[in-house]
Amino acid sequence: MPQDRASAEELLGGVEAFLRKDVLPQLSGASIYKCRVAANILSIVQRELALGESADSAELQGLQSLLGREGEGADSATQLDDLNAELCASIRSGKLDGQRAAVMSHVRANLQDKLAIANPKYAGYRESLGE
Amino acid sequence: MSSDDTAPGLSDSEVAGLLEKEAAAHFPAGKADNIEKMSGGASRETWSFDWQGVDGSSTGLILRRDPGNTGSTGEEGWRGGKTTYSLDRTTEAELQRVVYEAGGLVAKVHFALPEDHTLGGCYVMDRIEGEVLAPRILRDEAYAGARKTMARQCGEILAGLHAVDPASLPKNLVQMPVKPLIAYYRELLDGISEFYRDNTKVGRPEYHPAFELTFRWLEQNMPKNAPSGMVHGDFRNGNFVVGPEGIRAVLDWELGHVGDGMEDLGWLCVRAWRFGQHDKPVGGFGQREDLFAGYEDAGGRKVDPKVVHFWEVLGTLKWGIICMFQAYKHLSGLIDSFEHMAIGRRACENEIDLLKLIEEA
Repeated sequence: MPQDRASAEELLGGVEAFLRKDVLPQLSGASIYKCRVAANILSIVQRELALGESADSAELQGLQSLLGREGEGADSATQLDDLNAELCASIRSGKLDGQRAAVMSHVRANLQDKLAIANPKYAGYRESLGE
Repeated sequence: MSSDDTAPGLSDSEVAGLLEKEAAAHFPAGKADNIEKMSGGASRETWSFDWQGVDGSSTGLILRRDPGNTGSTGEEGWRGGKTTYSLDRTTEAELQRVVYEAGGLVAKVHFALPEDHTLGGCYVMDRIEGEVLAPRILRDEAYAGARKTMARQCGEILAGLHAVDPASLPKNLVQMPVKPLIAYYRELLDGISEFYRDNTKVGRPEYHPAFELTFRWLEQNMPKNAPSGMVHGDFRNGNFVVGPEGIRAVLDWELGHVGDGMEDLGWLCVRAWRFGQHDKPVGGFGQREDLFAGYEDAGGRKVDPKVVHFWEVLGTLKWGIICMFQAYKHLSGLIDSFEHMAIGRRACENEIDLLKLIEEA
């Protein structure tokens, strides 16, 4: 059952604004840095709440088409683990050497989704989007 | 809490008192003044002080010490310290002395104390005045002139370091050519992932296909017949003392080892050290051509840009795995720091960069 408003994202957004607008200007020394990190963490979690689910399902689809199987497990998280384990082991053993372009393209798409959550301002991410 | 008897959590005033007593045994008659803790990391502390001689002389000095009372917190904390290659303070001091004797840009070491000393493993060296903070060095007008010459100067400094007679190096300096270095980071990546699977509530390992692609690429592009010599190991913006005229001293020798000198050139070019100045691949201040020319003109071996690129790839991988390691330190209980936890989310920045780096080659 859905919770009442405010939503998790709205709650985090409120706390983040409080940290940035009210707390930060009153701090000095090492606390300034810590407060910025704390506010950044809250914005990462907000983006994860908004984008995480679709990123996970895109990753699962990408892995399934790359490796040609559904993945073992009762839920998508377990399937993701199963397929990612195979992907990593197969890259490591050289088994996927012949499919380098397809592997790179899957991994890039997955990393772009990760960075859209972790740090969308990162220069290397913007570059990878062709900006 | 451990009952560590080597340095049982000295208070700042106890450190200051012991420091004055030890300094008195090593300097002409006088007293210590302006004793100040500059940075207190969990694994390393830096103190600044002046030695005022009765003859009116004054010497600016730095104490670098291991607090010794917090347990292992750096890379040495990894699995109880089995796979470390960072140096203890005694060896680090000895290495700095060797480089100083060879004419390197490094602070003169006055004395070192062993790990079982009350003060903990530590040493005292000259304080070289200047700016250390990389963003200031890259942005302040005062260093505009320095920035123009630093890439070339880095090449010259490294040529000198790499030419240090291997026979003069501390005997316990670790041999870290490319293969053991890669194996070290392989083990770190696997170990952190297994820890998450076996020892955390989440109960899942972590997967990094871009790191796997990079390990594969490194195996296939390994430089051949690399000569062996001294490597600084952490030669980058942030470990330089800089004045308006350029670099005055190189700091932080604890990752010094014997290996391929091209490691230092590649590490200096890793994106993390550019602090946003992306058009200047060498430390955010210069171009590769100038670094290579400085190196060759100062007597270094001919630089193969492909080999430096290999080391830039390995350096970016290292930094990515170190990001994971920062989060691991908090999540495994080695330290209590939510800031470190957040750094784990930066591993993917290095991964996206690695895809580009291994495609370019």
